[in-house]
Amino acid sequence: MKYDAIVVGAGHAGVEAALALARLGNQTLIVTLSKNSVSHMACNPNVGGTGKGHLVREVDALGGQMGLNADSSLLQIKMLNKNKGAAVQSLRGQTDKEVYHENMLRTLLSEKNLTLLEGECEDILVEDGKVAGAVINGENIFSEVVVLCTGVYLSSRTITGEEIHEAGPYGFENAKKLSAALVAKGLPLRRFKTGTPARVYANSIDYSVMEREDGDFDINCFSFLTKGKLLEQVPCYLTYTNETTHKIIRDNIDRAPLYNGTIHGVGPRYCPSIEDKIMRFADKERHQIFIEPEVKDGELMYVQGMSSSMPKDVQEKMYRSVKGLENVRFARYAYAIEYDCIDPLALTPALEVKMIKNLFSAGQFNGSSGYEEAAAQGIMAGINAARRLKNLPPVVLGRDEAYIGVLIDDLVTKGTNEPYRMMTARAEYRLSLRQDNADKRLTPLGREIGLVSDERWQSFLERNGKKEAIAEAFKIKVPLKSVEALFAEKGETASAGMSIEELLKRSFISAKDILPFLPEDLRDEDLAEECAVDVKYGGYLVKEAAHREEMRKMEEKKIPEGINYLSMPNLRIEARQKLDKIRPLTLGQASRISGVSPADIAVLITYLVKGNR
Amino acid sequence: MDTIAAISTPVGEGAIGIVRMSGEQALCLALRFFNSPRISSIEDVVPNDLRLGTFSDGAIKEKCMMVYFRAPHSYTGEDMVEFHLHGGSFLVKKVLEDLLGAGARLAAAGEFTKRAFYAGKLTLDEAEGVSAMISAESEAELRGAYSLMSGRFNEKIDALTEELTKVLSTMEAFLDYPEEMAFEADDARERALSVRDKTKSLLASFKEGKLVKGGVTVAIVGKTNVGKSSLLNAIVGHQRAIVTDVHGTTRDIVDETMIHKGVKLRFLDTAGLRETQDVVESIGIERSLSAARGADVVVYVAEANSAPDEDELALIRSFSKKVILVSNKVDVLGVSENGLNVSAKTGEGVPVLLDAIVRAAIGDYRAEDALTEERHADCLRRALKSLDDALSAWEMANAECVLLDLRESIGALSEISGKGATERVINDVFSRFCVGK
Repeated sequence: MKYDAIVVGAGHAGVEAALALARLGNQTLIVTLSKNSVSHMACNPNVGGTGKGHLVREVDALGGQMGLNADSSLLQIKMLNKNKGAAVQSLRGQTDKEVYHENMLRTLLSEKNLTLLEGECEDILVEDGKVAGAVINGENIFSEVVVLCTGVYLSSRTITGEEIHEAGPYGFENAKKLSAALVAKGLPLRRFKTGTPARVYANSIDYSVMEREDGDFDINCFSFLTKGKLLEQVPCYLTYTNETTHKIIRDNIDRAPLYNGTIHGVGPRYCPSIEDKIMRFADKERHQIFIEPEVKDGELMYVQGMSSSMPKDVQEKMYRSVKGLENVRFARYAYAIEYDCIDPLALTPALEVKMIKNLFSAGQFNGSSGYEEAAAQGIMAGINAARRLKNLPPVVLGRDEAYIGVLIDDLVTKGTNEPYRMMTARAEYRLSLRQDNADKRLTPLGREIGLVSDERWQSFLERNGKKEAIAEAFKIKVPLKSVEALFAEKGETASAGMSIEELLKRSFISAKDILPFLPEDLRDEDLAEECAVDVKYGGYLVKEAAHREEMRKMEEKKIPEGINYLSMPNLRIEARQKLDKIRPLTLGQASRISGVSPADIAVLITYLVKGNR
Repeated sequence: MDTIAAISTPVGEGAIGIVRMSGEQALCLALRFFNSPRISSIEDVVPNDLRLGTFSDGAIKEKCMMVYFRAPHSYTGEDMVEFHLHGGSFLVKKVLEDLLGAGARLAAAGEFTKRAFYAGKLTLDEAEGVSAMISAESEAELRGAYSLMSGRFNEKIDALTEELTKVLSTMEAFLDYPEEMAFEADDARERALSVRDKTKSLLASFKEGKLVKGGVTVAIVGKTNVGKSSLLNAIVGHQRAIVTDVHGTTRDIVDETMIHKGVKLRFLDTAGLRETQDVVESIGIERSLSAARGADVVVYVAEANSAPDEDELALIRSFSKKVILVSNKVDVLGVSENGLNVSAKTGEGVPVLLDAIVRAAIGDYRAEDALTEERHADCLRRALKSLDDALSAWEMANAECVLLDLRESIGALSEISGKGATERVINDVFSRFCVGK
């Protein structure tokens, strides 16, 4: 059997990679241990969050599936940081995890060029340093490219107190043979750890003593293609741990696998277990617990904030000490999971494994954490694998173009010592990289790549055209009388007429206020609000652009592939070794490697000059 | 690209020293200090023309040559200006410092070369030469940085960076964990203010550090016949072995330089103060007063048996300098309760006086405490500027805008220690706040 591409794993990374490959016209095989685990939400039943919401929008803008699939299964949607600036606002949606899984499975099955196979990938085939296929259930299947998206399944084990299972998440089978095979081929694997809280029965919770948390009813959904707002929403609930909870944990800390030496993997600081929180922040009197629905009208709830690997009897005591959970019944206990993954410094910015040509990888296998981070890498690995098949140069997004660019650059240039989570704090061009302008930043590129459908392209052109017209209309002068009336409403006084743009520069003027001054066909509040952001950020965007221009110059200077760093006598030894290991594509990437100084870069430059003659 | 400046001749005593600038603002900044009869506006500057003029900043006024290269016909391909100055590290550094103070940024090792490369200007021959030079330069820089970093200066910078990190991580945590950070107190602005103040005072200590390199000027002032000249002789005689003569330009003020505890002290012996009808003498007195005003430290000498009168005290106060009161001739007139007891004749008390002068000029100074490297001062100056921007925008702008300035600030501070700013902030978020699901 022969395919153009094989994608190993059908989690959030694998499905995006496979869909991108298939949609770009390649015969693609996607292998999963079980159909039931396709796009399975192994942890929280939600998509998005700070920084992560940006990623979802960017995947969508490029023509990916995550945004649409999330929208099709939404139970609640919220704009985080709604009262703060536009650049740090992120969408988070509660989703029905069963519907999410079913809809994605249906999308895969209905995609032409795409074949879904249940089975275990046991090895990859390599010929002359180039991938040639994979071994699935003992059978050789050939392909030009392979994308590894193994998630948390590689030689994974789950841990609940003294109970340890050789298994994947949520009771699924794990992948037993691939790790050893990859190590034998020289891939630098290592062990990471993460965890998840318990799932409890909805009817055993007393919501009346908790705070109800509703979503926002006036905001857009994830995908730029989804029209209209989500009017029917399901609430979440907020409760807290207390001193009794903390005492139970402290009294049983010697039974916590994290603290008694059972767990060796490195866990993310972003998702600390409750025992970690209590031990590390002893002076904190209480911790938030959010109760989130796993499915609509369903029987199970997710207890966010109570991730743990304590033994079951301790978990029962801990959970039942929380207000509203006194009589809670467990459907699934919380557990920690350890798994194998690759050191991402072994990857190129195109997400190709440096030592094996045409082998790509994405998602938790690359050391990240989170569905959104996985999807973002998945679509890029898929795009670049597809471009390799057509002998096209890879697409590498800049740190100034997308959060996806920041994510991948961080992974392959700086590496990570724990599962990597996206944060807005990581993006140095945060004011420009907003969730509202993801389409403007990436849809034209997605169209060029070939993933943006005619429907999406038309919708983009229309939306963008309208936004440009609104921005142009901001130059309209508003007469003094109207300004006076508007200012009076706000308790301010005006002394002169001014343009809409000048009005918007006042902090007390919102997009809604200026709507009546726009031509009738442009009075779209959502779009006006998005256009107003550029005005409100004004000088700061200019400042950011200056930094950006400087970075761009470095980024445009490519470093030739076969360059021999080890023989550059004027380069410090440390710099030689780091550059040789990471093999940056551009001077910009080289300058971000820790341990490579500006002077090293200057020395490197002189060699590039020589190389060019 | 911003405008960079650097000394491009070897640091130390040489016949000439060259300071050069590259970037859009180069000529504009140069003309703030450079005057020449043929140049009255920016249009008068002829490219590639070496022009004689003066460089003046109010304190110094120095004859020098300036040449302007117009983009793209320069080494870097950008607008460039070079000042060709009389050699001597003090003068060259002062000119550099003026340019940095006016808005240029100190060039990093190899930065001119880097710009030349971007502009496609670097030739093969040059490339070979400069790579060796940069690597030597950066090594020297590392060694210099290392010696500085080993002392208490290192701790001060680290403490500042750490405090600023806390400001940033608090704010970043609020943005990235909006639901979990609701209970954390917001004292970020107070912290930022305190970092600003500390950065300022560290920069001020840079001035003290500079005194050590440039020397401390000490004016010996007092009425006639109180023994000023004998005191100078005693000081100089006491240290005769390491005295160096510096020929003065003014014949009426005697000028002697010596080194005490590693600090260069330049003494100015002045004409005695008294009411006089003599025109020449009164000019001398006027010069004494002006020397006293220009000095870093004033040693006011009186006789041990007479306390300074009201007029003298008023005069001392008017100097608004550090003034050391000395009672001379204790060997004859007996011990005085006023000021330091000294005998110029026997040399008694002179070492104590010298210690006092050093202390007055630069405090309880230890070489490793002070900021003596211009590079670090440049980083601190940029950190301070961004902090000021952040603080002035604090109330009006959103947190993510203020953070843009704060990030610049911590970026500048982190350049000194060479540790990445973003990682530092993110690490701090997770070590200080209980966030994450």
